[in-house]
Amino acid sequence: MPELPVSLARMSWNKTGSWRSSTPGHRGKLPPCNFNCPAGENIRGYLDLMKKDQIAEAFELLTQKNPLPAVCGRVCYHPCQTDCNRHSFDTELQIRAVEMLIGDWGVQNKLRVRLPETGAKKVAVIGAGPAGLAAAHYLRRDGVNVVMYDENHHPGGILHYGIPTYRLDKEILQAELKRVLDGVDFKANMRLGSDFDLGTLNHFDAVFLATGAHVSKSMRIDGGDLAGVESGLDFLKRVNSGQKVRLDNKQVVVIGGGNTACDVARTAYRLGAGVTVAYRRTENEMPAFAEEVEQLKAEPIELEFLVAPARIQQETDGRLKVICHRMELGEPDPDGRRRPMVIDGTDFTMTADVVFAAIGEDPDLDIAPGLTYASDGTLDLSQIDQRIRDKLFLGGDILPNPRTVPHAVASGRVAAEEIAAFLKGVPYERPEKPAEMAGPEDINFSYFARINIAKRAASSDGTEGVLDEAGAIDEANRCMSCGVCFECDTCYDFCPDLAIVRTPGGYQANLDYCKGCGICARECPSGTLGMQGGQVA
Amino acid sequence: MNRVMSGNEAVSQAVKLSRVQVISAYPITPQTSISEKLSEICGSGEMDAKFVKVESEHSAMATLIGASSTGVRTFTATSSQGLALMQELLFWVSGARLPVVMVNVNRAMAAPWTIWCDQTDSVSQRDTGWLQFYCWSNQEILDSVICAFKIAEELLIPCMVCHDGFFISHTHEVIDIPEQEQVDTFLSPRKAEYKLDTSDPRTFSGGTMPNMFMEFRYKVQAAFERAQGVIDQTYKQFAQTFGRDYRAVEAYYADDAEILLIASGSAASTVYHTVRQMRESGRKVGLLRLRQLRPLPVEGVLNHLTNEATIAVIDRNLSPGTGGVFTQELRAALHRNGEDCCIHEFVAGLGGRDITAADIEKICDDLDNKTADPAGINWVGLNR
Amino acid sequence: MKEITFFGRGGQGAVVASEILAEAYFRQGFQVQSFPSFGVERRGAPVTAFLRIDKEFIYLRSMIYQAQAALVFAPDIVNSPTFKPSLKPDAMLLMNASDKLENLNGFDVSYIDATSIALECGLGSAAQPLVNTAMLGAFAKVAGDLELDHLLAAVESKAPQKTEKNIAAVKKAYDAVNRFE
Repeated sequence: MPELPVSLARMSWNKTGSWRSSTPGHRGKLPPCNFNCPAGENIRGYLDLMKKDQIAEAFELLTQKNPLPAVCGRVCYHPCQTDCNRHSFDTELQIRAVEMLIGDWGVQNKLRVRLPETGAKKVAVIGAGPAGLAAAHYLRRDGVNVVMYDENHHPGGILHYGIPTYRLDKEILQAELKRVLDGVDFKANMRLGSDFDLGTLNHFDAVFLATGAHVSKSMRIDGGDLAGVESGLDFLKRVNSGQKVRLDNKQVVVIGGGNTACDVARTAYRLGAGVTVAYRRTENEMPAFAEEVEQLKAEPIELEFLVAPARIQQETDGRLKVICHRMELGEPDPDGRRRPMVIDGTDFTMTADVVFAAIGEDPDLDIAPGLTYASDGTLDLSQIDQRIRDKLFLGGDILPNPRTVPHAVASGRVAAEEIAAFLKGVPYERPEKPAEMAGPEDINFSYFARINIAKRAASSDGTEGVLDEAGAIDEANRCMSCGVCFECDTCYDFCPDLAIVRTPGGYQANLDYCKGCGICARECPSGTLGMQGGQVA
Repeated sequence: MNRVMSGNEAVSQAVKLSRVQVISAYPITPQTSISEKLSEICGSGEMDAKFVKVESEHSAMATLIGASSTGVRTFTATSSQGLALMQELLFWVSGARLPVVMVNVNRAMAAPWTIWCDQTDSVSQRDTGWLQFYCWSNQEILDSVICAFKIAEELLIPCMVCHDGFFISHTHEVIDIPEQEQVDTFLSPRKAEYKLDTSDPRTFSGGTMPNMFMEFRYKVQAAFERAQGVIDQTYKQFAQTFGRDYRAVEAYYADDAEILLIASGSAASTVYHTVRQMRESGRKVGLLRLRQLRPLPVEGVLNHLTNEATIAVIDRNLSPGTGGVFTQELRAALHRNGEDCCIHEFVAGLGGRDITAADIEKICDDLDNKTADPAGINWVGLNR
Repeated sequence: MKEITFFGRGGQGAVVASEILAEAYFRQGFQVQSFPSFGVERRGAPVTAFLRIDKEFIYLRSMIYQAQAALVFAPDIVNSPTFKPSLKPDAMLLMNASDKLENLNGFDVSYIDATSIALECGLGSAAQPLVNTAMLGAFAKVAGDLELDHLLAAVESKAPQKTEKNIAAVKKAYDAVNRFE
């Protein structure tokens, strides 16, 4: 008998795992940032690298899914940030500002992607907007020869010609595009349908069509074609092309409530105009991103809600009279938004020098003869020459996708994967999104410290959250790694049976000894671990 | 090196010199300056130990049970209500044979509310299986804490070193701080035969059937019976290293004493002062200073008993319904050893009441005049 | 053996003064024993501290009931009914006062305006002057068995903050002590 009450045998013979009635395992939920990112970025992953002060690795991981972090860090509507679980705790992470910092770091350090030698395959990419850029970039990274055509002088499409300078600096944009288009043969001022046509592309192994949607919908009202009634998108393109556009002391009416309307109104205001935005529904129904609406409201721009133009007349002095109806909201449309209805007898008149229509954009179908819409809203390609059609891929705003930059980027990147598979003659399967997102109810908030909400620094024009590298690391350190193991050792420390073992990149339960008590899952800060019922041998 | 410092600071110095590895303590008057100082020197790196912050004395002792099980040297300190809160774990520590060392700064048990000194807190833990030492000077505290680690680790029995709240804890006096190298030659690192170790998993103090429990209790009792030999041997080595000699029972003017006073703690110091004064005026008074309650140093007392002496124990503690604990313990032990001498019982200084030289002289007068009750409690300075 | 009592009010530094003086006498070659009157300290409440010095180790551990010397930080304490009985009839008193006090017949009384010196040296505030080092400086002058250098060394080791101001207070008070004879 020993002096003290201790077992003389090692207790490892006692395989307490046989007592188990449930088993810990990864629940496989995605953090809301990753789950919601239209571009498919591994946001949690690069925040983790930022925590470790590994910005080069963060840049590498980020640009595996999105080649345009400096751009998206400025213009993305950041659903990652909106749904961040920190929102339920103190305040959401400034993910977009972190992304911008990483993107700008790449630009400032003139990072280049290490490109492989190209092989025999050749792909034509038509349209140098975000979808075309992403497709060209990832195809080139895959060793494909890429020739890119665009009707404009500069690459970027909507990024260069649509988004105003105060939201996206042109120098940053072109610097980032220089890296993205590294190794790509960019042919400027080549408009499909006038400078060349699809038939001339037959010598390519595949063709990617991403010409976007940049034809403004016209207002089908009397006077909608008067001089002085213009397309808002064309106006933005003229300004962004560097043309001198003067609106000093002019009165401008912008019709519409989308992002283009916001950009047009704010650009016109910056050019000296007095601006009124007229939208036929209320602020709640505006299709523009909430942040854009907030910024619009912050400027001395008049907003007229529940107003729709009925007709436009030209006065003898050349000015325009915009006769409007007052509206009210009726039954919901199929899209869920309440339909605006005219209130009889409420017509009134606004006087304007210029009226900009910004009520939506359509794809340009003049690029190829016979191109039409099918009844389901997709493009009918049946009139396209079959030799081209069989190797034709589409992406970006030409398809009925949500019209945002990250959606277009994702569309281009997925197309590149699809084309790469096609070139190799293998079937392509789109990766499936996991069904579940880790919500605030999954997080063990007691493991995290609340912060005094950091002062949000402003850029020179005061519109964007901007962080320096130390600030970005501070933000990254707030990441709770929702649903994803961040190797915090909590399960390891808490397991009363020492049955949690460290493995590279995480932990595993040693099922010989795990009794299934569930403490690891209950304590897991990030909601990564869960218990699965039933004994698992 | 000689320095002036308080009793509590002497504790911290001893803990540091003993190279304790894990400390956990919760502050309570008059112990507080011990836990403050230790947490400070652990935090500053002056001492290479982990100070575990806890929310109660119960947690402090629980922490040490875990830490000590892994084979490291551990320490805590407390007082009074804090010690009482630890009680269930005190049994655990001794039953698990963990050589934890604790300083208890003696403070009376409430109610009524008090922060002042008596020994009722520690003497009431005499059944928990801890060795108990009582000190009368700051130097003795330092020396006893260092010895306690050696004794505890040799016997696998925890040690409680007690000193009187305020009378020692807050008193500054001159003390010789030994060099670290000296302490290192006396006290080697702890060597535990069984350690709580994930790579060598064992069950410690697990469920034990009636067919074995008694055997483990027997081994604890055997360790206590062996303890005095280990303690005496430790003192011998201590004297060789540091030149200061300690015994379980220290006798002063005992051989020819007509009155032999038995006392412990800071009260014994004042008794010693008074005995020396009385000797100068020719009164034959002596002192037996008890430095232990567990194990009770019966042999040390028996060695100094004579037929001539009238014996009196001064107890700064009370077990209601029985009396002073040292008195009761000695009466039982001497009877067991065939001695039928009368032991007078004086209860003094409860709840911090001062024990003065005049009180000691009065006790001697009462014994001389045979006005002291030989059977019941003689209350010192009581206002009835 | 010499027994010294410190009478003050919470916040004046009487307990620390007893520790500094113990350190000073230790440096002078004495065995020392200093301790506060064991209680709960509170700002403004009367505080008593004790110091014994002797050539041999001091075993007596009771409080001091007949002090040979006293440092009185708050002179109004003199009016307390327990004050005089706690002193030997010929005890040496050091009073923190700028003028001679009445009703101290039989005692060997010295005076020091420690409050003014403390404030001149920037120790404490008008509402709460830290008079302890000034009191000790004056005591070193009148005690006769303590060298000023040992006191200064003790102040330096026990008052790591505002050391220079405390040293200045000690020196100033050493020279300013008054007997009003």
